[in-house]
Amino acid sequence: MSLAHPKFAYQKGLHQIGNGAYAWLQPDGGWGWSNAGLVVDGDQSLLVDTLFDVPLTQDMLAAYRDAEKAAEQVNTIVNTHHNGDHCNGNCCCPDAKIIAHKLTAEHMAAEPPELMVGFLDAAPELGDMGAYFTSCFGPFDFKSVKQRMPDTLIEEETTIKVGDKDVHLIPVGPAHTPGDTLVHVPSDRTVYTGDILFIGGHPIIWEGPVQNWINACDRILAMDVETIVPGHGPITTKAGVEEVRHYMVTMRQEARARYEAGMSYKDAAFDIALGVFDDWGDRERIVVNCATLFHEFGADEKPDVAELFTGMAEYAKSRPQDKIDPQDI
Amino acid sequence: MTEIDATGLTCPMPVLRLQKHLRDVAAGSHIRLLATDPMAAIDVPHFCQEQGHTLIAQTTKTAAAPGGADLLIFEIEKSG
Repeated sequence: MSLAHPKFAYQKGLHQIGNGAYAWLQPDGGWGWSNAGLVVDGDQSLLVDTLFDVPLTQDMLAAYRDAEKAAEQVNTIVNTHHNGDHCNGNCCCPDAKIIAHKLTAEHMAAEPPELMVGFLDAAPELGDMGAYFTSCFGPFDFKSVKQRMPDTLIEEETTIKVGDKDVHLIPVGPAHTPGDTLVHVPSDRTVYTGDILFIGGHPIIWEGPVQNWINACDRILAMDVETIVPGHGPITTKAGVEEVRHYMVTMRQEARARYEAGMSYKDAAFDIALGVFDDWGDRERIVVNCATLFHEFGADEKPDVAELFTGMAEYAKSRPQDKIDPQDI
Repeated sequence: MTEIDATGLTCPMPVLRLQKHLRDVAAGSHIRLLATDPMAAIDVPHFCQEQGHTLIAQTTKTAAAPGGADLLIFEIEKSG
């Protein structure tokens, strides 16, 4: 069953949701190819996230300006979380107010874009892991990014205005990351979920606990919304949310059984049959998901990023996957 | 008549650029829209019908756009 919303093709670029709401999509939605949003009312505009680098963000902003006069001067940016593919382009809007969860700001500061530059520079010396890392992040121009931090921090549900529209900012983390925040626009019957939803690709559980992620899905399912813009993948409906919820419940159950049997997180990742999720993209993320779940179950140490990328590289090499056709999602 | 050049842009950008422009002009104004994406031949008439604007004329000039693409020319009257 396709999880794409039937009204919207999964094509790169701007998609008009209606009533001054837009989505910017970047198929195929894999590593770094994130979605973003624009909400306007009257002469006011709000961006939901920016993109991984400056050229990508500038292309998006040019299309926003083409569609809406209010986007010629962006008033506000909301960063749904701290990963660079949702905030590195903040520097393209030097005058906008930037709102994010306090933990999003803290983790942005701890993971500046220079880290990616350093990793990519070192990658040729790092064997399979370096090759895998480069295949994920090599297409992006991190040297162009000057990190621009949030200046308005939230810690609980907050309602802001865009013109006369209410926009609800709803923290639901830690789940994908510590500061995960949903952006709900009731008057447009639209929610921008950030990386609480990956559609057609394996979600990556960097943080957990997974119960928070399941609760976040339930929160979206309870909303009166028609259009759901995920952090990656095509615009979706509540059927897509149900699938991500199902993924979280299934992975927790599968990982738990292997944790209790005494397996290592990595052996568990290789042992779990992906079943209905096998044709989702980036399936090597199960390595990170098992590591996070094992830590949640009581494993002492959480592996560092280098170990996790080494594990994912190994998984991806041993189980090569055809490139996903965006039209098949 | 004002002219909007949306050549080289892929759908839905020609329609979005037209829509933005229509907000700023008076009812009855005439606008010429130039596009090269073949999908505009479907999107622009559909947009006009949905929004109540009048599509006065739609012509195609073969290989008339830069790069040799077909040039689609639409003339639209803003609804009252």
